[in-house]
Amino acid sequence: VKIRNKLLFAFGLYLMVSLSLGFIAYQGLDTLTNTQRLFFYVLIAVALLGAVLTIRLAARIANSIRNLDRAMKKIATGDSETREDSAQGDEIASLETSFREMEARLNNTVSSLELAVRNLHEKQEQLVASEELASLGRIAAGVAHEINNPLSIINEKAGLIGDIIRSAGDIPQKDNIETTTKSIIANVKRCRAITHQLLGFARHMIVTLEEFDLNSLIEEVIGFLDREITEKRAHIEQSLKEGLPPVTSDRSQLQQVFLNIIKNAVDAVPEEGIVRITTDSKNKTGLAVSIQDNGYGIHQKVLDHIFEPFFTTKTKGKGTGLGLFISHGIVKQLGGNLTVESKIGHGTTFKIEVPFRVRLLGRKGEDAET
Amino acid sequence: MPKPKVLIIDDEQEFASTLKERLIFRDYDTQAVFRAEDALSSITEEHPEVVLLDLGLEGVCGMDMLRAIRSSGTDCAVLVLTGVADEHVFREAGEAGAADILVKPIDIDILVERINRAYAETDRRRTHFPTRRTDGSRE
Repeated sequence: VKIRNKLLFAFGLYLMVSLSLGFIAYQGLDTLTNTQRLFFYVLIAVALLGAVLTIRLAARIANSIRNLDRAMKKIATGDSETREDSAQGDEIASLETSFREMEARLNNTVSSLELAVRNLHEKQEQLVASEELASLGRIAAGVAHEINNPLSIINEKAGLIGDIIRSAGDIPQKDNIETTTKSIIANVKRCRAITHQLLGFARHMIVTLEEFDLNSLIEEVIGFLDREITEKRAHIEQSLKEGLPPVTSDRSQLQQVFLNIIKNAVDAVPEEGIVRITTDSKNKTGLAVSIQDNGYGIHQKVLDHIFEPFFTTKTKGKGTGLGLFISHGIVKQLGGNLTVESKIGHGTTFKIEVPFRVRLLGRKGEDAET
Repeated sequence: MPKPKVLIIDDEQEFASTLKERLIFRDYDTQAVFRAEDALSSITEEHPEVVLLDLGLEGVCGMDMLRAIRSSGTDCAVLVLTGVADEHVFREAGEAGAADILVKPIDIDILVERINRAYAETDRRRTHFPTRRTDGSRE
């Protein structure tokens, strides 16, 4: 029964009662016959009933509105979990139903908006990171190029001094001068290693995509490191999961990453140490590679800076401090992730996530697909 | 084996003249020019057998210079010296007819070995100039 009908009914009752009472008051109660008096009492009973019904109805309407109001307030404060049972099939109930529908639609919209914002935020972060990398690449290339020229001159000048001294007869301090020129040339080589790596870093800003099997890439890299592995008599334990789907990424860049990290692991282990290389599918989005060594481990202080440029713990002249920085940059650029965990006395694990497909952001490399 | 006649084309004068002296020390008949304009005339007049060409010449594209030398009718071997070890540079120089590509700064012993090798190869293969990688990088 609709509220309108209920109200009309109640109003009709009142109208009847009021008219009848008015009529009786006009006539005077004493003049009424017994039947008329009975009718009068019935009217009073009906009037009372009507009053009760109206009060109940009003209370119910007020209650429904209160419920609706409460639900609205909950939505306004962001709590949309509670559901109040709606009343019978009247207008308020229908209002509540449409309100619930609206609420559900609103919830859907809100969650899809939240998702969109989250995605946007992620993309923005990646974009900023890749833009930073790209400008860093340009700076690196510029610096390396500018330094290579004067470096070449120093190299030739020192070399010429060496040539002259060697061809000269007995002159004072001959050995000293020869040692000094050799040292200059050796240090030029050190600088050259840095500029070449910087140029390499800049080069890696251009991404070339191809589809390939990650396991075979890793096996290939292990092959490249054969000499280092044999020298250390290190054990390489491969646990490469079979039947992994191929990835579409930059093969040569990832090759450099694995070369760098596996070589670091071999460097880190003691004689006959163990390097364990595992591949697995991470989830629906990509593959996970872990490279674990049983070396000494890395202190937290070092771990905090391990991916920063020019940070190295290797003895002077052995490392440029760019390897992990570049590897980290490459993996990020290719939409993956490179993390490290280490425990003193137990060893270090590098984890690399490679997405099945690179999502390039903010890149204009000529070979890059979009 | 006889030593080839070498021409250095590099606008970095200090570098070119010092390298020239060092090659002369090693009994290579060596000339050096510092300007792109002088390069082609020097090649046609002096007939060097090996040219060391810097790609970063001022005012001229090093690749164009390389193509100009290649199309000038001389059969000298051109060794490209570059400050940029870029795969694109490698590929382009290889296609333009460079006999070898070396990244500066370079060890003199390696340079001498590459000069000799390029010279030996031009004798054998005068028409085809393969690209070799100096750093073992991929194709």
